[in-house]
Amino acid sequence: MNPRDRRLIRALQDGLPHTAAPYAEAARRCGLSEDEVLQRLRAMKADGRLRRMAAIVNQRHVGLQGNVLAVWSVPDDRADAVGAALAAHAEVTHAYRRPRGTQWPYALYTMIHGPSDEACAALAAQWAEALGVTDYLLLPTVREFKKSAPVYFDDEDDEA
Amino acid sequence: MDALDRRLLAALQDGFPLDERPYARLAERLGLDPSHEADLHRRALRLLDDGTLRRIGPSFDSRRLGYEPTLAAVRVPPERVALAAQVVNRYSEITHNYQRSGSPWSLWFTVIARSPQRQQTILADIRRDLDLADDDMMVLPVLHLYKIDVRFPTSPDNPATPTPPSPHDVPK
Repeated sequence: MNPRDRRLIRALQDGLPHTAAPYAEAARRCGLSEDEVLQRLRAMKADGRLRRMAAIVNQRHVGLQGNVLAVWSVPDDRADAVGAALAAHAEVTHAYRRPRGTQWPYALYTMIHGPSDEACAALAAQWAEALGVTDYLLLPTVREFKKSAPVYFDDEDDEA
Repeated sequence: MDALDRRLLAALQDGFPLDERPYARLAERLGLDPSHEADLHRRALRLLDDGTLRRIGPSFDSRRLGYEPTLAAVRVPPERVALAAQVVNRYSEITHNYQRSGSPWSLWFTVIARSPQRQQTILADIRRDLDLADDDMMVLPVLHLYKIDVRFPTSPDNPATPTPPSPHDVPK
């Protein structure tokens, strides 16, 4: 990774400046030109390092109080089909396959968002029925101990 | 929140333009005259200020940045969860940490470390400090990503209905 990319990522990881021309302000903060900032971000977008530049909405402010992790156990040869089917639902924001544990048969993980935890549970039940999945668990959040943006390249002092 | 706020929220979730004048581009995207730039910027500031928007910024693919991310779960009894959470939270590499019901695995957290070695060190330290048996921690890295799309519908009737799919929610 180019040191100037690292510097840019460090400058932006807490979010864009709140100005009307945020890339110009970001450029000032990391000592690059606005052109270079935009060029580097477009390159990172193109090669996938930058997933998206976008706003994150607080779900509670748009009437969505529910937030449930559901884990699903399906035979290996059906995992990708079921994973993709679950991912196709708008209420699913994250869908992954992960390793099973020795006493933990669940390999598919989905975050479900809805008006309430009960509404999320009802959706999961509906999807399980439609997909013929009989073994799944709902793991509702009891308490949030931490939720923060990742910190990248924090302990470096790049000169470029 | 008025109708334009809701449309702006949807547009901002779809993507913040990589452009010298992002709010002018957003105005165009919403079918407005570019002279609405200042108005949209003011609205975005208000939505940030009142907490409707958590942030406007980049989401990076941590693996592609060379980092090693994983989810982990530990099995600790309910009365020890709060203390265990503090132990886990000591590391800046922990980005999410939740107590969850529904299974004996009571604490779920994500680690994004700068190397596989650093990830192993953190997980080993946590195991040791929580005095966990080997089978009391599951390390669950992503094997396959089906979807990441954190966009929420912003239609005014949203609270009453279980989030109807809308065109912008279709995964790309």
